[in-house]
Amino acid sequence: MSEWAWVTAGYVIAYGGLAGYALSLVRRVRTLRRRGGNT
Amino acid sequence: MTPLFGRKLPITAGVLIAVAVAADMVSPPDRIQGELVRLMYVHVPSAWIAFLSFGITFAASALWLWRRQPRFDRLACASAEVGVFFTGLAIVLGSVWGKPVWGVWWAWDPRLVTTALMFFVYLGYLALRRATVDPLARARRSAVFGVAAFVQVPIVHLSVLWWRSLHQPPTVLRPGDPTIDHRMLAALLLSLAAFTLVFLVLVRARVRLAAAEEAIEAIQAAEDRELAGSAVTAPRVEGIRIDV
Repeated sequence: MSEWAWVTAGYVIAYGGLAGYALSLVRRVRTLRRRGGNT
Repeated sequence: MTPLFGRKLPITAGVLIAVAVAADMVSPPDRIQGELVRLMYVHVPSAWIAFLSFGITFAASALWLWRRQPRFDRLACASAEVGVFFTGLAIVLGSVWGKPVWGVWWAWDPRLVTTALMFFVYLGYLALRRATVDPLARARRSAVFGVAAFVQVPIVHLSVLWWRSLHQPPTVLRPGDPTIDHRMLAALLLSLAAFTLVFLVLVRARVRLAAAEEAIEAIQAAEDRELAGSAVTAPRVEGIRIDV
């Protein structure tokens, strides 16, 4: 693998991971709303 | 209804990420590692933010033990969870960097081992919270754990000085001037600023989530006691408002 390929993989993991965690928080809020029957 | 992530801070964080990534890409390659050095701009901030997270957990835990206010428990928990995420990210990014540079995904190196230990200990903190049903007991046990576990942060940081290590010794957080090219340092600091803003966004959202979870828990516990007494759990009642 070329050096830029490793760098790209690292950035995808880093920023993709951050986005994924943020999305997981959104999903947990939606689950809470379903449990609670939010208005 | 309060937006989970807010508005201004996520936008600012997004802009700063874009600027940081641009700076990372135009910074010079390393004499020895070439382009691979750019992984420093995501790996190092992840580790630093992990330290910051656990520092906040430590402070919030101590404040809870002193004041017994629920907001400190929420902050400690939120920061610990985000810290576990950033620690895991630092480990994974370290592997991605280590494979082409060291030739291995993992080494039984003091820095790597102490970081992995720290990851599992704080994972244990989250597991402890999950396993404790009573809110007051949960907050008390977590607070003691959160204070004690922080000892690992200086151990991880100083591990490269105390023991023989493959890992690079500190280049910024050390006595004297940083031993790094100033253009690389600028890109690193920009990336750190971007990661810090993202950290603030995530912790704030996680605290709001924790408040909503506690509100539901408290209402359901009160309804259970009202309907059937504290010895029996009643069916859950719908129609509970969550203000997130």
